[in-house]
Amino acid sequence: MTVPLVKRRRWAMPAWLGAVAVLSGACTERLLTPVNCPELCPGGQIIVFDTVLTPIVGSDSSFSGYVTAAQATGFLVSNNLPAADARGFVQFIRRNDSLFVQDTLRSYTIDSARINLTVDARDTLQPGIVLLLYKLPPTADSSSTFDDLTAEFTPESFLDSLEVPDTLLTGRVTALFSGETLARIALTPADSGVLRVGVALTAPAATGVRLLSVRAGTGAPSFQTYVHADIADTTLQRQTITRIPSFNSYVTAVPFPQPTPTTLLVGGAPSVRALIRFPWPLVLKDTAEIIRATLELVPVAPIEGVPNVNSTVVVQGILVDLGAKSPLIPQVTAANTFQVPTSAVLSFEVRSLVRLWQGNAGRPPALFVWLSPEASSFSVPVFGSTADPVLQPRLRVEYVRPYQFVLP
Amino acid sequence: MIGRRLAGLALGLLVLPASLAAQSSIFGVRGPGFPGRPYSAAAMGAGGSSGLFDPQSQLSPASLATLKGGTATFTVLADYRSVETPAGSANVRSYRFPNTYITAPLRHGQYAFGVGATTYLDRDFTLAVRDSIVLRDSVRAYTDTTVSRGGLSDLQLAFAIRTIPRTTVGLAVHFITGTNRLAARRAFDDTSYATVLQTAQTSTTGFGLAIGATRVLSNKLTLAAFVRKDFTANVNIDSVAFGGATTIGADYGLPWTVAAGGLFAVTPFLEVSAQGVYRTWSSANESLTNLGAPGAKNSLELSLGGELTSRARRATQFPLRVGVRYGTLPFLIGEGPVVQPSEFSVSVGTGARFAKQHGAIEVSLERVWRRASGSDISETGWLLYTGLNIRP
Repeated sequence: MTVPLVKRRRWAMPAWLGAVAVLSGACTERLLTPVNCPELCPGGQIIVFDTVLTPIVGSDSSFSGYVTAAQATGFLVSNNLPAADARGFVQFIRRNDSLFVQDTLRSYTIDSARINLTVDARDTLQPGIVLLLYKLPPTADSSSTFDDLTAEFTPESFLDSLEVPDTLLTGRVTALFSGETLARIALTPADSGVLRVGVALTAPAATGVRLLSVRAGTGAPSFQTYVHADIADTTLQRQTITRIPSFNSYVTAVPFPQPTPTTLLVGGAPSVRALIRFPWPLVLKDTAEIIRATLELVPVAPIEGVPNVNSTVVVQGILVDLGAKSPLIPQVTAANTFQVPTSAVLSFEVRSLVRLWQGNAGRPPALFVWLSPEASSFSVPVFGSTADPVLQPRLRVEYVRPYQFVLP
Repeated sequence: MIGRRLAGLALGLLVLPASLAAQSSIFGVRGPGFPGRPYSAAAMGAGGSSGLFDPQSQLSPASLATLKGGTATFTVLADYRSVETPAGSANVRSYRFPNTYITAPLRHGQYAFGVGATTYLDRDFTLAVRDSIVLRDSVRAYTDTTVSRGGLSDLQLAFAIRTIPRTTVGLAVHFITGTNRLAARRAFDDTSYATVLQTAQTSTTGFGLAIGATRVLSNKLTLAAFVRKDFTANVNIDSVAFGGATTIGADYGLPWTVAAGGLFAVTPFLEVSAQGVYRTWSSANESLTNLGAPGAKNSLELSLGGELTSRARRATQFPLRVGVRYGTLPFLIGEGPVVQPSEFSVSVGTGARFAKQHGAIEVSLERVWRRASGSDISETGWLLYTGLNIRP
């Protein structure tokens, strides 16, 4: 029996279309249902555990000598600031008495010169800040003390005053020397072509600024000399000689505090860092999922500094425990930026750090604490150590244990 | 030629079980899952009452008695449910493939075999809990989400002996296997707290044997009976987060299944069927309660249905199937006083053949009500079964 073609196809198309329509809907589903526990909670509930760890007694200490004032990215200048009365010192690279123009060493006459400094931080609420520049003799060098420098800050050595505009938060300030003032900055034969500048500060009240140093890269102090070269081609006569510091640093009236056996200190110059070692229970090392970890450091005294100039305490883990020389784990940090004065407990969210302590290949359960910007901060926080159970550091950890998936 | 096609379909079938599942349910959350029903779309139109006689259903191997030719059956289930819990309500939907079966007669119809896969237990759900806890002397709100995907598939190898006059005896071997992917997530409103996310995967294996029989008592009456024993489900957990495949003592007993039913041809146009299925899920009770679950009880499923055709000679074209079903669900719910949920459903269905009888589409729509007396948990749903039968 032959079935007409038209009749055979009558059901085929709608049937297949229907099947395809149903199957195509198989890609979507929506199963989310609000429920109440424990009635409809399989596996029970996620239970959060809260524990407070204190450092291993006697294993927390501060170490000095990491970054010197000359190695810092900034240098400090202040006027009778209780935290640190500081003076700056910049020694520029030697400027020769001739320069190359068209492959020929040519003499020049100076038209003008300028000294550029960059303000990195200042008390934004303190008006009337003026930087005072002094030309220092060749005897001033890296071994000069605060008293040595201030003795050289005389009216005879005065170069210029740089007003820091009240509206300037960060940025460059410039001292320009031309005409009559050009003689102030003239280099003597004793200078051997090297300009040495001392920096002081004056303001209606005690305050301080942080200036960028040569280590900061962009914004480093610079000494520019605009000269008229001895060459016939007038288009080549005007030249600029730019010099950056070969050395710059700062000195303070009173040395920064040094570590003691009973406290944890960070900051200062040369900088001090603190190493804190914690006990690490097996449950945290092997099975717990840490959801929050907070390090709390308790200041033993109010932290001083320049008001409205922030400093940051940074916490980092270590790759291996080699004491003071333990290599830091890069890129994983916790930080707390504080304002002075403060006596508040400084808290740091260190979950990303303590998670590295977990597992068989976990890093040592220890934290290094340091102050940023290192060796160029007016503040030197001093925290309690395990020597004082009340003020000792605390590591507060919240975690959950493995969920009991097989429990229906 | 037919053998090659069937072999190809069988090969395709082997890759399917991982995606098989029946309809999900809130009442499958506190046990190893929600039991599936190994019925075709046509049988579901009659409330499942013809499952013991339907050669495209996998309840009993003796249902191959009426198989006339090689057939591949594929069923799609679209599931639309409204769930009520004390925490709120939700409209949920899912799509599943609950019944895949390839059958063929052997030796001029003296024997028949079937290879198929159905859902044994389905554990697909996503649950959300909104709550708070006190941490560091402050109340912290959070949202917990528990996600489960997977369950157990039942791979069946069935064989029917049709050499005894008016009687068919069927034997089946069942391999029960499946994985369950689980995730628990807690997100705090306070972002100082990291989101908890833990995942794991359980794998379960089991084994079962079944025997069934159908007996044609008269031109109008056929009876069927069936017994199946499934043995212990062995559960392993392979925790992604914490390593290692471990047996954690979560094994549980699987039930005996006893079923009986009758098919009565009232007229050449009307058949009525009835069926009862009893499963001894209490065998899992001790293991489940030891694991912290409310437990399990034996379940009973009773169904009654009929099929009305307009033309006796072409009974496969647009028959009208209706059915009702009542059943108790095996896995208990609640804390403290626990209750056994139950369900009731009515269904309607039809179907048609096409392509010179080589293909058929069966469609059934079931309205189901599920509830647990004494609790505020209930569920209603529309279940749309679409079955595709191919006869090479």
